[in-house]
Amino acid sequence: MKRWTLSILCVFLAAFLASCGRSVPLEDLTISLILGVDLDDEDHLIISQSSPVFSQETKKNVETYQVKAKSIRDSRKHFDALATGEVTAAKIQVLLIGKRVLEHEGWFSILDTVYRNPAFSINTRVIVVDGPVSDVIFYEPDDKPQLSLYLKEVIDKNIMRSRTVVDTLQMLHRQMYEKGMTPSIPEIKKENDIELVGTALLEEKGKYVDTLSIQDSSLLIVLRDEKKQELTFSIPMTSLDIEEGIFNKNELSIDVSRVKSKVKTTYGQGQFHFNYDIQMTVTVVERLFPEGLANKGELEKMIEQELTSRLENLIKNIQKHKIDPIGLGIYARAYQYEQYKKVEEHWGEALAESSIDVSLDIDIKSEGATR
Amino acid sequence: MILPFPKRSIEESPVESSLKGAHVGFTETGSENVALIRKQIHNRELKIKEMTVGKRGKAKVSILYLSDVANQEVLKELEERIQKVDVDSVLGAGELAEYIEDHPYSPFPQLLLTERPDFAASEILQGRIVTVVDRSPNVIVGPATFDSFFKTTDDYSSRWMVASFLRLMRYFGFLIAIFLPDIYIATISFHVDVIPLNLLLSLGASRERIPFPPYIEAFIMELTIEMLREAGVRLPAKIGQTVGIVGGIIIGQAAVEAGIVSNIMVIVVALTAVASFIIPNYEMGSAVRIIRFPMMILASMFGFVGIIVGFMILLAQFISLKSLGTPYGSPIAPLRFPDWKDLFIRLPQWSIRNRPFSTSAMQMKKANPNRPEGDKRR
Amino acid sequence: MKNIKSEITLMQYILLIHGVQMGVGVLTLPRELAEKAGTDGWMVLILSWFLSTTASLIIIQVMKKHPDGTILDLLTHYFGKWVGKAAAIIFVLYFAVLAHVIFAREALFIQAWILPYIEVYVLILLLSIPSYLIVRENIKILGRYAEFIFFMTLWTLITYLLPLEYAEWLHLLPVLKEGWMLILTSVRAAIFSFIGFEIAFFLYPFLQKKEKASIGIVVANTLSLIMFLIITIGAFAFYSPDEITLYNEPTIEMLKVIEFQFIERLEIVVFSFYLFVISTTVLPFMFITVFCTSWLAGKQDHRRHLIWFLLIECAVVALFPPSFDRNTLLQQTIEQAGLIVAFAFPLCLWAYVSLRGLFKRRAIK
Repeated sequence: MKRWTLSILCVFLAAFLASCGRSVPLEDLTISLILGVDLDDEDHLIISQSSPVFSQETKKNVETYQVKAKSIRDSRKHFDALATGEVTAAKIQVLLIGKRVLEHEGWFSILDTVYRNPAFSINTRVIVVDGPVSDVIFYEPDDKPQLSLYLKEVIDKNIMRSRTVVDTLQMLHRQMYEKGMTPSIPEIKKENDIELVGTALLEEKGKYVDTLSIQDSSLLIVLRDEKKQELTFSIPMTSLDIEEGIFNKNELSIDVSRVKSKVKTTYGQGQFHFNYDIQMTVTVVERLFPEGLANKGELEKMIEQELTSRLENLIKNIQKHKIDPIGLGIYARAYQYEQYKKVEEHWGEALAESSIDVSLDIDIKSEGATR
Repeated sequence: MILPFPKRSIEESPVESSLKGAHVGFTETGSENVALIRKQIHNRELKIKEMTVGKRGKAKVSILYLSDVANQEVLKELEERIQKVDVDSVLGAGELAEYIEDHPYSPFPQLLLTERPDFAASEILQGRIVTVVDRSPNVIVGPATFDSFFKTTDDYSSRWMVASFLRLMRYFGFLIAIFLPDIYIATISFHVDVIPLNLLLSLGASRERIPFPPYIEAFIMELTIEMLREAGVRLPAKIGQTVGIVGGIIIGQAAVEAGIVSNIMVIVVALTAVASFIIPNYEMGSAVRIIRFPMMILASMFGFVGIIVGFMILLAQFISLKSLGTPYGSPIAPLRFPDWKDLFIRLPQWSIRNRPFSTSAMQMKKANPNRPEGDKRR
Repeated sequence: MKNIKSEITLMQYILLIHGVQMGVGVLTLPRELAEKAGTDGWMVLILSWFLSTTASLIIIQVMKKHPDGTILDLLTHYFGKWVGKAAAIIFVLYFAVLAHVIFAREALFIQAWILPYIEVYVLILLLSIPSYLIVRENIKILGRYAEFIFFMTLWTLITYLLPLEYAEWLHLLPVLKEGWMLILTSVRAAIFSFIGFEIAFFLYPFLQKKEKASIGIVVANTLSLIMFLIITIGAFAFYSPDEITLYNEPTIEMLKVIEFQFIERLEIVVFSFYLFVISTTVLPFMFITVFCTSWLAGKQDHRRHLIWFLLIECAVVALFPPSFDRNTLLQQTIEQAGLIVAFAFPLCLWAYVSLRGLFKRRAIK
């Protein structure tokens, strides 16, 4: 027994020596919270990162660096040269990608280390920046919390209110490799303040094609059947014949409490047919015109017309660009596998040729607390 | 003329006080202790075997058991072990317990020491065997299982939901007391990724001025609190209060302000201490205090993997230990679900009809399911 | 055998076999199945379950002929001392290599996912300590351990269900994409997950209620099947069929998306906990290895052998540091051997034993 206690002690000692000094405690780390990827005017890759400073003696509580590097991993050596502690990627909250990057095919390989290195967090929100990333990452507003928290909050809040799509690194990976879907990423812009623009749509290989406005992003979410907590639309009732004034008196806002989008997938006459059957239960939350101009049934009709035309425009737009941010390819694969398999590699083109019908059914559940 | 041995009057045990149980404790007179147990179980089958231990200062040892319940093999084993003890003198029950324990190298206590006659009697009724050592206010209860160290007499005299809640708290406290400092060390030094961002920022701000790595910080504070605790035990109550003030306010507050330890660490240490106080048995509580330190070393070397390995070692102990030849981990390992009625939660008395499997009693049944059923009457 | 005093209950027997089947394989299983059979991989599992259950029932049938001894005693009984010894050596080699493969893989996974800066041999040394403490005891303790770990780690399955919030169930459709042939041909990929039930050769004599051995082994296989199905179907729904093959360990990767208010990066915590589950695979293999060697040496006590085994293990790992590629290669080799030991061998033995019984009865007549 004694011998064994001794030998176990020896094992511990050996192990202790072998592992000594390998752990880096929290206070010695420089924890990257934002990672930026951008191209400069001469198309050199620029990586930037921002991390909190714990020390109370410093005036600023964030340190931000921007370096020219060959890759993300390569940039770490430059950051290590600049930052106080050892730079770690484990808690990156936001990944900013400059629009210039997206304009080149094959940019996705830059992100390889993010997936290959288990240290990276996979829940990082991916955001496209319209304009240079440095404008955003070096932005230090006085009236906002730390930039990383702020950016994450802005994006998350808008996701919750169904105004832009969810896009984490995990989902980006899925959308990039999924043949029946093309990626879509939230997009922001820095003017005086940072603001959400909408959703950037990419084509199959990841090249930027178009940006959806916030309103259209909501419709995209309806088509994807991914409504989160809240979804509202403001719709002008043009057919109501109300005189226009300073105050748009024909405005009606609805709060969608339940939306169910069903897709029926068929194949015939050399093309795919997708029949959308969307059912919405809505509450009127704002109505600027007086009561009695239209009854409930008429209102429902008008909303249906307006939203259907918007949806059709969106679909037309998508088909024009030969992309599929909705993920209809997944439906095609699930229900028309044999036909899908033939066009799998060029799904965008196949979708552009297919017919997509939308039938919308609105049910006004309540018209609010006042008449 | 030789005076009769002086003796202390019967009073409540200061170590194991209870809210609702009998306010009676054992004293240093063996015969009185036997009488106290006999008072609880007035039954023909309650047998007393007497023997002596020690050559010089002979101590009378009485073994009490229910002859139609207690397992004969276990009884024989216990008797043989006591007979084999060959020393000058055994001065206390704890001393004897150390001689007859199955695994003296294990940190876990395998025999239960109690000063409460009602607790001892209830254990006899379960089919266990009580050894009274003359000159000691403690009696030895065996075979003990791990869960018996987490039971008190109050569990049975209070209502079952309350008792169950408190019991769950004790097991939770046991886990906290062992694992909390380790988790702190492991996360801060290895797995920063695991901490959510908001907590991470405040942790980082509080640790920023600390000159030591987390394990040294943890060791300083854990050792300090152990010393304070030991100091408090030996000192008279009035000075003991001063120790509390010095420890709690001066050292805790000043250490944080001087930037030697972070305030999160102080919270961790305080929680660990409170959690280890909640374990009702003193021996088990002390075991937890000792186990904590090697676990902290493991955590500081290997992070979560170290904690898991430490846990595995504890588990290996837990499932392979024996108390007087019966499995220590029963009814968890070996698993016996019927006995779980009185394990983490205590179900109403009438639903516990059998004696625990671990005692391997000759009569398993101890109660009939009859009850007034007041809840079903109109 | 004289030392069959320690007995295991039916539940311990079931969970020992189930524990051996659940192990490191689960971490890569969804990818391996997806590579071979796409999203229909889960059907392959059911097929292999059927095969392995049949094989396990055959094992029980064989063991029934000689209920008081392990396979080694049975072989000695039928074929003589030398065949028994030769079989013991083969079993030692088989189980030792299996134990080594999984042990090294466990350490490699720890290094890859949790502690990138610690050497593999240090981890092996570290893991050897609890392994020694548990395996040095008897089969009863191993049974209790398997039982305890199963119930203690059940919650990890619940955490595994959390990422399914992001799952797209349409990925699983259409069922039978490429037809039955593909499923039949990819059975080989899935059947290895069930390897491990051959420890019944050694568990059988220790079982208390021998008449329940067949039911027990079916339950164990089914339990493993349910776990495998949950894990594969979950991963197939979570990942797009086009990307799942890109992840080496999709099962761990999936847990990375879970976030709570108080804890993030759950894969680190869950994988640390998963070490317990892996240990229920490694420890029985180690036990059987040293059980066979001590049977060969004719000794009751296997502690000394165990120490030697662990020391050799550490030395091997220190001298030839394992890498994923080499480990996978070794794993594939031992899986081929597993096919023989777990499927072909019992079938032949059964045929021999029953034929012999038939002839004997005739001879008596």
